[in-house]
Amino acid sequence: MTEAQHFETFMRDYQNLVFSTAMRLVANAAEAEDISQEVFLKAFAHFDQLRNDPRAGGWLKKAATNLSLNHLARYRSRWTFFSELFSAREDQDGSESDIADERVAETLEQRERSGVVEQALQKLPTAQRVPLVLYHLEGLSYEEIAAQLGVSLGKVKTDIFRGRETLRRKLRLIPGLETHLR
Amino acid sequence: MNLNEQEMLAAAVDRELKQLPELRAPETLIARVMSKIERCEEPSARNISWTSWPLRWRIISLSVFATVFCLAAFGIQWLFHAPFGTSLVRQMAQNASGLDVVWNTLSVLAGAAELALQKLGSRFLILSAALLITTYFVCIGLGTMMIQTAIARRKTL
Repeated sequence: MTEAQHFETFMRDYQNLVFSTAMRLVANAAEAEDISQEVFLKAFAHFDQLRNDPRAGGWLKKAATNLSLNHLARYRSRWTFFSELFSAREDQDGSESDIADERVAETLEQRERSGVVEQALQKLPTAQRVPLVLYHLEGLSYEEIAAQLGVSLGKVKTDIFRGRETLRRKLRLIPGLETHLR
Repeated sequence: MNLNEQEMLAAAVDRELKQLPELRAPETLIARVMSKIERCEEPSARNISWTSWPLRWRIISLSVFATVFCLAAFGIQWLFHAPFGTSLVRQMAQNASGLDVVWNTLSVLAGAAELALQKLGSRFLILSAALLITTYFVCIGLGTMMIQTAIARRKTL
């Protein structure tokens, strides 16, 4: 088995992990694929150390997170503008979003739950999705997120809170939550 | 929403997100990465040192180089000794004398500049130097200020 074949097997084992990490941060399949490609090219450069390392998954996840954040930072001014524009519109148009929520709730019954959660997550404004993913999926603390994104601690907390609220509204069927919150 | 409700919401969202299965990577990803790796691994002729070339290529290149060197050495010797060669060398020397015109022009311009500086005096020179230094520091200051503003703006976004 050649080095390239070994690496191909390695990629097969980790490609979903890397792609998921990038996809949940950038919420765009084409961009996530580009980022995954970049991650694996970096991994190939360190393949001697990674091939038998049990922490390879962690290394790849971190690389995917960092590259995704770099990618977002490159377009930050653009996405901040649009995400805040849309979130403001969403806040103003309560009735419209309620109708949309009804539709999402209906589809919730028809489609697999994970698919709907994934969809709801990807539809979050970038300013809310990124800190939310970093907190819940990457296990970073508020302070670490603030440092990584170069924003204030208050903004991180507010964005995460808003993100959770949006998810709560969109995913009405969160077990046990409705009874406590209403 | 009180603190308890917020904590419950955080726990519920955490549970929902952690239950998400991994997304399926596109089928094209492996092919894309592998083709990129193959392209990077193919070393171009420029990047291989001569000592790493195959033996046959080393012998050929060495022979070609030796032949070119010998031809050049004999050619130059022939140029200086043959009757045609001597006239060619003489003609080249005559053509080079055209450079004298350029040199003379530059000398005249340098002389004119020196004269102008003498007329304007040392005060003008000092003022010019001061102006240049001030402009330099103003540019540095403005540049630093703009970079700091940009960084501060980026942090607030």
